[in-house]
Amino acid sequence: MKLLFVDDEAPIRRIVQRGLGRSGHEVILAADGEEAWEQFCAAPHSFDIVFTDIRMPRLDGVSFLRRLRAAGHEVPCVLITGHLPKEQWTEEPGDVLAFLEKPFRITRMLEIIEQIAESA
Amino acid sequence: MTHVADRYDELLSLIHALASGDLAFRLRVPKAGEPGVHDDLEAVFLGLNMLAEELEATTVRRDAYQTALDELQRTQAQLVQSAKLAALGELAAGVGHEMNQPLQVICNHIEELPHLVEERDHEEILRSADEMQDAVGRASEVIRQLRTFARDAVRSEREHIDVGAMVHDSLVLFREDLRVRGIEVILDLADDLPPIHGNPIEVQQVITNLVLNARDAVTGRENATITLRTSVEPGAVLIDIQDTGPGVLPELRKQIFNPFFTSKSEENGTGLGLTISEQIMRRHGGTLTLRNNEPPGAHFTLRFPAEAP
Repeated sequence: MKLLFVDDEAPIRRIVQRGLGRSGHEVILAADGEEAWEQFCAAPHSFDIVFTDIRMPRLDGVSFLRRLRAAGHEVPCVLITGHLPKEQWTEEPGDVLAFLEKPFRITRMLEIIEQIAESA
Repeated sequence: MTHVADRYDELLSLIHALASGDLAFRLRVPKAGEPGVHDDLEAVFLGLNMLAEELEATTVRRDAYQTALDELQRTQAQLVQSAKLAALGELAAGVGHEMNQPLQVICNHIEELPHLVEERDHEEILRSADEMQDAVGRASEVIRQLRTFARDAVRSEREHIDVGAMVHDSLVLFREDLRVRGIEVILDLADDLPPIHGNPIEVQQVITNLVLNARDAVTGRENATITLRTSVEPGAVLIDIQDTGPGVLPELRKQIFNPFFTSKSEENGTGLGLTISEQIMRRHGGTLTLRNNEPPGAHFTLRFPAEAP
């Protein structure tokens, strides 16, 4: 699977890339929403899933997600959040595949990726 | 024919009644045609009755004012309380966020460690250890600051305050928040500032209020910057907090210190931050002023009386 992982913390990006890479996934990294948008647009149809942090400089995760949806991209998205429980999500429920609460485990990411693979 | 002397008692009763708070007491004034007192005394009776009437009405008004005042004071106390709770909520959210980042780093490293050991990737293992050490340092710094905050909160007495350290500490809890918003913070702290005398929790509340206002003002803007500067003047210690936001419109300059004045949305602003901050400064014998400033952006100055060495 090819996935886009967006987080502004460099150590987290590196570990997640290595951890998921070990399971054979290709992980493209971005440090904020703007960078994520550039990465995504470089190969829009190649991504199977997007994991994005919410609070980031420049463009936050929710704005990035909105930009994706506005452009008609239906790639499944997982929002990583420190404080927003799913119940408080007021946008279109279908826009978000799942919420990942911090601190999250890489194994939890693998479970979500597996779900996507099975439903595809 | 009634004699004047017959009605002395009545006159005295009125005076006693009024003096003892029975404001409803009235003198009987003879109706037209009824045999009564002398005309001139009758006028006095009528006058006294009017006076009693007026006194009673004034008392009713005074009681109404007092009730309104009590109500106002109760409401004000509740508002101060809700402003405090709002600040506490902000603090809790800030702490949550500050702690989550280092926890995330540690959590992922721990999960990865067995793999790294298996792979005998010593270089990565050492790097993980370093990064976890950094993360623990970050989390400890937040906790250290929280401890200061909690310690100060239970103390109401005044003490010597190192203004520079307090400005620095006030920022710790919001560093991550400011960073993700892309806000640059410039600290320009003077060396050898004399201490001030005050209530640490209150002084910290003022600094935090102003920093959060500045944060909200610059969020989403180009070159978002907050500058905090400390300096000394004869007899005074100054803290300047300046932002690169839209500034305060000239017509609003006077209003911003009024209770409930806010330019923020309802959930973000109680409209009490600057009011409470100004009250706190006044209690400390200091001032909170909005500078006339160029270039645009808001620039507030806190002025504390310096403690005599």
